[in-house]
Amino acid sequence: MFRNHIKIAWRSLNKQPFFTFLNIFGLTIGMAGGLLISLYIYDELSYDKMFPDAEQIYRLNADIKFGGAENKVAVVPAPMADVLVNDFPQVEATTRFRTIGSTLLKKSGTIRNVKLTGTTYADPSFLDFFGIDLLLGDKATVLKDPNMVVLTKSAAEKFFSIDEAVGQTLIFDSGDTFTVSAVIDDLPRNSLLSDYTLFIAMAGYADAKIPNWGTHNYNTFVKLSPLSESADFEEGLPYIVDTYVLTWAQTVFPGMTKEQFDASGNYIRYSTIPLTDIHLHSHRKGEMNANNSIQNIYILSFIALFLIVLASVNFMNLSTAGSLKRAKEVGIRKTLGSNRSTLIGQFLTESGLISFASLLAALGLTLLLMPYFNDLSNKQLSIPFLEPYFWLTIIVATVILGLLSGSYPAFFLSRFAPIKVLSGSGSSAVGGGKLRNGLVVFQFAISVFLIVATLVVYGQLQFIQQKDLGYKKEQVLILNDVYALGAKSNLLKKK
Amino acid sequence: MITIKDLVKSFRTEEVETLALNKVNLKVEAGEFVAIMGPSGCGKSTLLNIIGMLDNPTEGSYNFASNEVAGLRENQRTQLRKGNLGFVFQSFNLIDELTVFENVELPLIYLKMEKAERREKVMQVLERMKIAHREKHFPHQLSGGQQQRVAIARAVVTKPKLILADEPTGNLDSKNGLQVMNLLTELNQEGTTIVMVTHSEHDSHFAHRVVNLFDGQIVTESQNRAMGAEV
Ligand SMILES: Nc1ncnc2c1ncn2[C@@H]1O[C@H](COP(=O)(O)OP(=O)(O)OP(=O)(O)O)[C@@H](O)[C@H]1O
Ligand SMILES: [Mg+2]
Repeated sequence: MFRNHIKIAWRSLNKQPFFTFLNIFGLTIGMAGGLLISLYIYDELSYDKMFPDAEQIYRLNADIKFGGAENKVAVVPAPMADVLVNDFPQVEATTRFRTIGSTLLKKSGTIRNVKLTGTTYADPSFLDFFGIDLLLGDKATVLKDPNMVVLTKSAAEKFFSIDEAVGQTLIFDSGDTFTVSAVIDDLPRNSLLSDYTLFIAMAGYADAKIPNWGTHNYNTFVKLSPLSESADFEEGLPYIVDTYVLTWAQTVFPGMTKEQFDASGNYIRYSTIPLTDIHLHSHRKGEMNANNSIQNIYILSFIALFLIVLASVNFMNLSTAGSLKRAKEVGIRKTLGSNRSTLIGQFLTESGLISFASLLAALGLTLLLMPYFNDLSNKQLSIPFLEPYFWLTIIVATVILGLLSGSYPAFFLSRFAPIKVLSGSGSSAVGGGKLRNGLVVFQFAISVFLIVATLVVYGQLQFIQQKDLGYKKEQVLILNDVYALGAKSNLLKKK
Repeated sequence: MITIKDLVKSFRTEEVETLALNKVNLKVEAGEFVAIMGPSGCGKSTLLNIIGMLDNPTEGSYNFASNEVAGLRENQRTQLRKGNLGFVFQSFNLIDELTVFENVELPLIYLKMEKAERREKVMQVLERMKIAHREKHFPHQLSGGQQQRVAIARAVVTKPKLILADEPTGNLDSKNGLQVMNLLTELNQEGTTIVMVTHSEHDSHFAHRVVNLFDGQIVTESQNRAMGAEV
C-alpha cells in the first residue's frame, strides 16, 4: 500500500508542477530560514562549553558605587585572585586577564609594524585553567618570565612560519622586546576568548603585583572544586570587602571606618557568574567579548518557529485551495472501497514527499545563503553534515513538519462525501472557504510579527556590538581616574 | 436482493429543504435489469446513490442482501460495498493520474488481493472489454467510449453482485453507447443484477423493467419493453 501511495503521490505532484513548486518553494524558504536561525542559536548556546571543567568555572563580578557613579563591571582588583586561592578552600585555581586592546609590533629585524587586536596580559595559569594545549613551546616555562608572550597560530603566522616561532623576538611599538614562549591554536570562535591573539606574561606587568583594591581591571576566573556550591562561595565574598578592601581604603582615606563607608551610600559588592552563562546573561562593563542577550535568543527562536509555521500554513492553504481537483479522486476512491484512513495515508505521503523535497532544497539554499548570513551575524557557521545528531534532528523535524502540514489537507480532503463530488456539481461540494480565509489572516498576522521581531533583534544586535566596542578604554580611564589618581584627576582631565 | 420501503431523502441547504425522494418503495430481485427513468431533478441519481450506499436515506429502510443499510456509518457502508457493488458513471470518473491498468486494479487493491492475482483479473477483464492493448495509457489518452469501457471493467473486476449505472451512455455517441449497452446486457445475462438510470428511451429497452420517477415518487413501473415507457 505504501509503495502505491508513493507512486500516486509522485504522479499527482508531477501532474500539478506549478502547485508543487509553490508548495516546495514556500516550505524551502521556511526551512532554510529556520535552519539558519537554529544554527545561529545552537552556536550562541554553545558558548564556552568546550572548555573542560566549564561548569566549575565562574567569573568574578563587581558592583561598585563610589562618588555617585554606579558601575557593574566584569573585572575585579588585581590581588583578588591570590586571596581567593589562599582564603577559600573550595577554590581550586584562578586565572586573570588584563585586556589592553590592540598592539602594534614587529618581528625583530623587520621594519613594518603589524597590528594585533585582542592583546591581554595573562597569568600563565590560563592555559591549564582553560585546558588549552600548546602547539609549540614548553609548558613548564610558558609565560613565567616577564617579556614572554604566547601567540595564537594565526597571529604567529603574521610574523614567522609556525615551526620557528618559539624563541623569536617581537618588538612592540613602545620599544619593549618580547620573546615568543609558545604558540597555541586559534581560540574557539564560540568562546569568550575568541578575539584574543596575543597573551603577554602578567609577570612583566607591575600593576598586577600592587595590592591595590581600588582599581578594577582584571577579568578574574575561579575554578571551584566539583563538590562545592557556587552559592556558598558567593556568600563568602563580602568577607573580602570587609577585610582587604576596607584595609586598603583606609590607606587612601585615613581613618575611614566601615560604618562611615557604608553610611556614605557607597558600596562594593562582589558576585560570580558561571562561565557558560556569560555570553547570554552578562552585560557588564569590561566584558572580554561582545555578548548577546538571552532575549534575542528567545525572539529568534520564535522567529524560527513562526517561519516554519508560516510555511506550513501556506502549505495547508495551497493544498486545500487545490482540493477541488482532488475531491473527484477522493470520491472515486471511496466509491471503490477506500476508507478514510487509507486516503489520509495517501495525502500524508504526499505532504511527506513535499517536505523531504523541501528539506533537500532548503539544505541547498542554506549552503548558498550561509556566507551572507555569516557576514550579517559575524559568525562562521556551517551545516554540520558529519554530525549524526544533526541528521536525526532535521529528519525527525521534517517528518513532523510533513505530518503537521499534511494533516489538515488530509483530514479535510478525506472527508468529502463521494456523491457530492461525483454528481458533478463541482465547487459547491468543496467547502472550507471560511477556514481558509482564517488561515490567510493568520498567515498575514505571523508575517507582520516576523518582520517586526526581525527588526527588533537586528537593532539589538547592532546596539550590543557597537556598545561593547566603546567599553574597554572607557572603563580603564574611569576607574584609574577615580581611585588611583585621587586629587590629580583634574589635572589629567585638562590634558 | 434490494428491498426499499418508504424511503425518504431530503436535502437541507441554508434556506430550503428539498425533498428529493418521497416515500419510495422498490424491490429488485437478483438477476434483474432495471432502468430508472424520469425528468431531470426527479431524484433518479439520489435513489441510485442510496442503493449504491454512497448516501444515507433520511427515513425509511433499505435492505441489501439481508443487511439493513439505513443508518450505517460511512466506514460500515464502505465495508459492505466493497466487492459487492460496481459503479458506472456518466462522466466515467477514472482517476487521471492512474493508467488504465491501475484504475481497474484499484478495487482489488482495496480488497487486499495479492499482486499476481490482481494482474490476472485485471487483464482478463480488460481483454473482455477489448481495451487490454491500452493498459498502460492514461485516461486522457483514450476516447470517451474507451474510457467508459475501462470504467465498466473497473466496475466488474471484483465480480460484484450488483452494478449501478448512472446514465452510462450519456456522454457517448450512439455506436459507443450501443457497445456499452451490449456489455451491460451480457453481464446481466451472466447473472449480475443491474440498476441503470437513463434518459434514453432506446437504452431503457435493454432492461427487463422500467421504473418511472416523478418528483421523488415512483409513478409507474412497466415490465419489459412491452408497454413502452412514457415520461
Ligand atoms: N447534495 C444535494 N444538496 C441539495 N439538493 C440536492 C442534492 N443532491 C440533489 N439535490 C436535489 O434533489 C433533487 C433530485 O436530484 P437528483 O440528482 O437525484 O436528480 P436526477 O433525477 O438525477 O436529475 P438528472 O436527470 O438531471 O440527473 C433535485 O432537486 C436536486 O436539486
Ligand atoms: Mg442524475
